[in-house]
Amino acid sequence: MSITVVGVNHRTAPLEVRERLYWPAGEVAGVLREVTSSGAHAVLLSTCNRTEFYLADAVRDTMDIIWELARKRIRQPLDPYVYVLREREAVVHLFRVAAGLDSMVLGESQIQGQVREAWELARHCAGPVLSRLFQNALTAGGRVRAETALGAGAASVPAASVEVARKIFGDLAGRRALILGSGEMAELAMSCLASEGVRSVMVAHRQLERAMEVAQRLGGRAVSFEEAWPLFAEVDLVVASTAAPHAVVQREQVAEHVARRDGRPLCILDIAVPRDVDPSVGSLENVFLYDIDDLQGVVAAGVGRRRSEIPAAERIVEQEAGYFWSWYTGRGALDIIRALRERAEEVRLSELGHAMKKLRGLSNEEAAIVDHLTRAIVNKLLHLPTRKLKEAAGDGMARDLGEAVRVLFGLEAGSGGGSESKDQSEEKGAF
Amino acid sequence: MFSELHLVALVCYGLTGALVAAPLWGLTRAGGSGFSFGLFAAAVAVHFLALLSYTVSFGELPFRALAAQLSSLGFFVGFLSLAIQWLTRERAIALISAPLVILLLAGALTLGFGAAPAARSEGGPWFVLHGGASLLGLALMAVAFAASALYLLQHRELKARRFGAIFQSLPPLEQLDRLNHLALLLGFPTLTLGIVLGAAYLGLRRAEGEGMLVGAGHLGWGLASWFMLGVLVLARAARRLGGRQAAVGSIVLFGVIGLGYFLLMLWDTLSG
Repeated sequence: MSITVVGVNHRTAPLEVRERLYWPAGEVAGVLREVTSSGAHAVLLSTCNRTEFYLADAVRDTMDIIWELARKRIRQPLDPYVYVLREREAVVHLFRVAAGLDSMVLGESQIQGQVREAWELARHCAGPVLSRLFQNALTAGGRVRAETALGAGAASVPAASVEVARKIFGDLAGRRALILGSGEMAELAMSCLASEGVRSVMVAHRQLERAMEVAQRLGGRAVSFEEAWPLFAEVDLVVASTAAPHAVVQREQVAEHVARRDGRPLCILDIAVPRDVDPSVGSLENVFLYDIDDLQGVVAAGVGRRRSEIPAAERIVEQEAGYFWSWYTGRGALDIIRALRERAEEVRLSELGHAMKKLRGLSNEEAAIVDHLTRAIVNKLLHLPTRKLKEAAGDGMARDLGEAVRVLFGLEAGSGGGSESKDQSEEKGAF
Repeated sequence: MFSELHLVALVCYGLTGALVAAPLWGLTRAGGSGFSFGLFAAAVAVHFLALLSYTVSFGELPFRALAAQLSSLGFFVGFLSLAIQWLTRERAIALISAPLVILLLAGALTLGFGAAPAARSEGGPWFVLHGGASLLGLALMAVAFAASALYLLQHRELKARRFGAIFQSLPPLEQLDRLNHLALLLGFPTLTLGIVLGAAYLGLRRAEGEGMLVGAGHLGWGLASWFMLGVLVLARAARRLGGRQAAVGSIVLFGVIGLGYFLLMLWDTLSG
């Protein structure tokens, strides 16, 4: 029994390697079938920023299969990019991943869903240890999100757009938005806003065909620039991102329309460089104008807040990993105790058989006394080691003690300690 | 007994206010909102016990003497603020309501609860209902004041493009605007009810041959308050006011009515 993680992520591999090692959900079952043909249990977590195999009972063949699968996809050796973590290190790693502590954008919440999806796709081949590991990792991730502010605050310009809009309107469901231009950032920001419930998107562009293209992608309708100004009286949000070399929204163009809003606030997100909206528009009553620098400021504040939450999040990860580790090593300790008792019983019966052959003529009553005597000696001898192993399991310390018992009493490999499989995979991990 | 309970409530309100305000000054990180809510709930519960103890001791509801009225008003403000925190899961309202309640309780304690009310409750149920409805109406205006103060703070942060602790800690503008609007909408009929019940009480007393029980100032203040609140509610309903103007209006209205009420009651108390 052993836990191993083999993987690459945004820190160890460039994008071109990561994108080749990305397995979409439809291909995961096939990959897992190959990996588990070696007898190991496996879960594959594959996202745009990481591809990781979580393995239980991995043997040398398992690692060979993974290396071969990766080599076929990236057409070069995996070694410069891969990391292999084992046992407690592997456990803590998954818990940190689920908590968003290992993400490119610290504290992002998408990873929690991706970890859940990875486990659900691998349920048939995850085995009891990995199943428990993933459930506990999801619990750890949930706790980090609930008990710390690691996921609070915006960490990107589109997220900052949402955060600012929410501070003005609260719930964004059903809000109406106007997009000026067709910049990529504007589309990203609009997608984020749409995911918060913003509806009725109108896209204005100098070229109506281009506006129609963007509108189609966002599920909105296209309007000409001339039609856009009166919309300042109706919409709640304006996202500006044209390629114009000067401000396209002037105070005099929109002031009269803004005045017809009955005091309702208007949020203008100008994410174009150079700016699309004249700064004087921001001084209109109930108009809240933010440019790219303002939104970067929101991001900086958000990232700073998230960083300050790392120690609290790490404490939760460590605690939850500790709970899992106690269960995991305790489970091994029970296997060791069972193996130790079976071995002792085997020796007792063998020696008792030899002795009984020499002690012919014993009555049934006397034979029972001898049998009881040997049983009592064995039980007395095993009582303390059994108790100590159980205590160690409760403290999560049973692994080393179990290994010692396994070596000292010559118990079979794999009976709780799992060191053989660990040794076998170690060679591959040394790349 | 009720003075001691009032002191305990005052300390709890103070601690809650400090807890909610601490992240704004960078003294603590945001969070612990469950604890501050629990403490605020404890403050309201102890405050209720204090008023209950007063009622048991003097055999009348705490709506007549100025100290008792201030404490009852504080309790209504605290209770409404607690309900808002529970419903919206936003704790920021305590930033304004906690100091306001502390001010009211401190005023009540300064004026003193010790002596029994000068005259036993000759008012009967009409007077009790008048007092209760009027104080609840005032409390709703205090809530509108708190929401408006937070609105103006958040509005200033958003306009100035400051995204620090205040921006993070305060609720969205529209939520505060809705709260202001709702408090005024509920406050107007409640205050109207208070005035109508007061008029009914006076009418009954006159029919029984009593002279005029309240001065012209008291009557004038009641009607002026009702009129000003009515104008604000109507202007809002007619969409004549944006969020910021409505917030300024609520603050001015609460200031004028609250101060007028306090001065009037203080004059009554001092002149016996």
